[in-house]
Amino acid sequence: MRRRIVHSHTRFAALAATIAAVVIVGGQSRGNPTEWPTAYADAQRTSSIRNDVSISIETMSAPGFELQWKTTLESPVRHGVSLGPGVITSGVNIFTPLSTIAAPSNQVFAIDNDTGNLFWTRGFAGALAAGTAECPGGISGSLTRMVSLTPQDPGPGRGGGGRGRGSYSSAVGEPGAGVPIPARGGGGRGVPAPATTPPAAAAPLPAPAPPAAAPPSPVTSSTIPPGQWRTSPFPTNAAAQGSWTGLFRPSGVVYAVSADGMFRTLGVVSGKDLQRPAQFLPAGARFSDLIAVGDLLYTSTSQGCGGAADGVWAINIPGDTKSVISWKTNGGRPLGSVAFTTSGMLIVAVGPGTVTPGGYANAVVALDPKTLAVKDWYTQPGVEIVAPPVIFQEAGKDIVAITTKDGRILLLDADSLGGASHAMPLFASASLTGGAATFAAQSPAMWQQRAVPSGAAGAPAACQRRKHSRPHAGCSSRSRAHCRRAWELGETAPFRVGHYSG
Amino acid sequence: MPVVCWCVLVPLRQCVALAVIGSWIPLMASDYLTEGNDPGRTGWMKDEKVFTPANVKDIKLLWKKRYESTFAHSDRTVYHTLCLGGQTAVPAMEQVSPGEYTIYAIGWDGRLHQINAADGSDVAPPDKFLPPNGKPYALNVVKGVVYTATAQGCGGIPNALYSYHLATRRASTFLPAGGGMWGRRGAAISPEGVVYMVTGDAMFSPQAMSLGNAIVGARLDDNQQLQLVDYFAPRNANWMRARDLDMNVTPMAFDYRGRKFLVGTSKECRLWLLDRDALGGEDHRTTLHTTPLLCNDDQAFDAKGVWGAMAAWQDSRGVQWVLVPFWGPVSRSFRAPIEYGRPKMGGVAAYKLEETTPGQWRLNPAWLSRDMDMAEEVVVANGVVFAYGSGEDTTQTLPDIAWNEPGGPWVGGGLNPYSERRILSSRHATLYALDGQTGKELWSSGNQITSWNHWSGLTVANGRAYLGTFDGTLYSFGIPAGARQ
Repeated sequence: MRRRIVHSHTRFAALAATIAAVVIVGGQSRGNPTEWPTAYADAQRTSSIRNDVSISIETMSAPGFELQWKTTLESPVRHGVSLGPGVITSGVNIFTPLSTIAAPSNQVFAIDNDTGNLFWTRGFAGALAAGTAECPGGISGSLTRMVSLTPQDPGPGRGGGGRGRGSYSSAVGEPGAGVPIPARGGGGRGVPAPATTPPAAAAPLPAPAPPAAAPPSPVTSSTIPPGQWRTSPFPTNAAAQGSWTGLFRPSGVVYAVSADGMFRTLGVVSGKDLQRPAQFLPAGARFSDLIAVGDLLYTSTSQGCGGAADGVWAINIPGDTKSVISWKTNGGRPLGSVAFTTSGMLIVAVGPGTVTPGGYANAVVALDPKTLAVKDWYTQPGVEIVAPPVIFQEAGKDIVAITTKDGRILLLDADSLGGASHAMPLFASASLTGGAATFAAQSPAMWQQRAVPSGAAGAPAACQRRKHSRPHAGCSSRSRAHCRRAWELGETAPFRVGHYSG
Repeated sequence: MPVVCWCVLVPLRQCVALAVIGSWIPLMASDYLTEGNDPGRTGWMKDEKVFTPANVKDIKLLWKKRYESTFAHSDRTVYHTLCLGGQTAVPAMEQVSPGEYTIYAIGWDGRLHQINAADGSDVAPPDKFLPPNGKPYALNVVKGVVYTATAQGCGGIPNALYSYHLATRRASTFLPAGGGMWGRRGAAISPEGVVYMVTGDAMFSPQAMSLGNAIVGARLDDNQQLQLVDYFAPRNANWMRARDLDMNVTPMAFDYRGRKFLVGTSKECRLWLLDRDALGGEDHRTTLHTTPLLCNDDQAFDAKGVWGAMAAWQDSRGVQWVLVPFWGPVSRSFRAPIEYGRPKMGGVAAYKLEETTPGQWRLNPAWLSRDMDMAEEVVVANGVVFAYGSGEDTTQTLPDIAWNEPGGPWVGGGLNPYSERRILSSRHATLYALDGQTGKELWSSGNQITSWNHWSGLTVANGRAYLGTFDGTLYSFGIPAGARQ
């Protein structure tokens, strides 16, 4: 049996240090650093991951994407729902990728993404009423972590082990001279050189050096300082985690609302309450997927369940004293989760309903994130909105995409919803359902093909390919019309629509 | 004469002094001259005659003595938990003539010391071997060559295998381009002279000549230079790296029924049965048998998995046993024909190496011990399995503390492996004697040991078992002279 062994040989090429440095830097990422901190991935609810180390057209075109595990969680079905979507933290206890999942049964499950093992589970106290389809009770909105307003490319993975040392090699010293220590990484890659003994002059014993793995200075004590805590431990995950970085960074928290309407800050390591729970919503409220931005946690309520008026709610995260603010639609019910523009404006879609003075129905409303005061809105007679908003950026502008009952996609300028009349979209597509079906009442997905640079000034990048300067050359036939229309309108880029029914 | 340099942290002169303890033991006694007792690191005291399964119930604390073992830092080097300085490599001994032994040890300065075990005098001048302030592991001396391996990059020394040829004074290294090589018992050496060692977390990419999370085999060439001869990495090696599940346990090299075996394990907590004639098969990633998980269902990088040292022995019927100590709860899926509970803090599992069909070898579970608080090294002596739980707090991350718990709130999950925290929450070590055939507890030290230990190691010979603890105390348990009859 012939087996291939690439023998190592001593080399002291000057290139080695450079190669080793590249390897070390590249090795800083261990697991997959991609996180999914909130429902629909980000504050704009795009359901889009910009980069993933494992998922690409190439990897998905090859075999290997398959069922890795499945696990059954003891979560009784309530009105057709057993589990909500999870949020993902990539490095719990440094190396564990973890999903935290809220269940209508008033439980939260934490699952190891690699193994499917239950990491922890948390059940909140209190009996659940039977509920109805409209008002199921329990936990109706998914969890959230703190979310950045601007999309973040995943950084290096937690852990920072990265102890790669270039290529394997060996060396032998002169009698009595001790062992020669080759430059980190030994030789560079390539064809191995013959095994040779390096000249003695090239192999001196290095002087004593400080340890390579000295801990960072911020950690001055390994004990938990009794009573030591910051006044606002949870304004953001980063602040909650302190100034420590890398391996020393705590794993953070995930935010939840239990069936009794209490706002909870759970440690992702344990599921324990790391803040005193605070009343946020009326017990039994039907609330949408949570989102935490800045110092506030937001959700919307619908169906008047638990006596909670249809509207948007927020609670401050830092500090022991909690204050709750809300905005009532006085009309339709909020459609699912709220979204945020990159500048921080809260956007909520409101469905049909009977409007009382000052109220909104079949509208897209922009709210001030601090006060929940109405800042802008779009509504248009004959347009029935059916799904939550999705926001994307093009040429520095935030564009709000919404779907209508008749199967159209509307694009709104986030800086001026509906324009001066509050009734004019930037763009309205033809009905993608031909009017015979409707979009599901779920958030569409959106992605932008950013990798291809624009070939002509001002042209939407996604509508071109490098080899073709002509706009729309890179578009599919189906989306070409969208591209053209977007091109004519100015700056918007094509998008892909998910959750299509009919 | 037993080597009782149990503690890798004591100053060299004290370790040497301890090495001569017990020199009164009569000739014809058994020797324990190196970590794991033999070059293959099997932990099998073949020559032990005093301990028997029948008499270990009579084990008593024969003596304990506390030694001052503070390392006086002599320079401005920064030492910490991982790079602690001092003497980190367990010494090894050789019988150079009847009644004469030489101790080999590496001082903090990286020099190799050769010391007369009888009086502590230098047999040869200390000679340059490694750079100073490294972290070498247990020495292995075979055919005039001293071997060791290093980890954590301490002192700026690459993680590598090292050799020192006693006759020519030439030192060599093989760098696998992997992580730390921190198997407890240092490198294992096969009868063929191949040096086997695990590599810690780094990418496994043979094409890029990077052998992280692997077992590498190297051998001295005619130029006395270590050269790679073979390697193995499990198929999930790079995933193990992502989870920090290092290959961290010294593999065992032993022969059985004409086959050359190597057994490895790691923090992941499964065993790899390998053929030394073709480590990992054609693709270097194929085992003779890979067991299901023994422990660490959580696949955690700390406080769970195998961190100690295995043992391999044959009983009088020719059955080949493999013993594996582990930390943390036994796997939910592991089942053995004989079990003494379902360990939560750790324990020892015994496997039988069996040829189920011609050419098909498997490691089949045989028994599972009682619960042990962080089970460490295993040594087998005359059918008795000695194992100990270190009682150490082996966690390396901080826990969450709820807002209404003492000290809370605290956001956990960050790395904190430091001594200040772990010393406070460590317990005490406990030594056990188990029946090698069944795993039944025959004796334990109970609460007699009052301190815990960290990688202190276990030495067994001539009816005595020696265990050191963090407070500098060396315990000697054994069969009182009157009970030996």
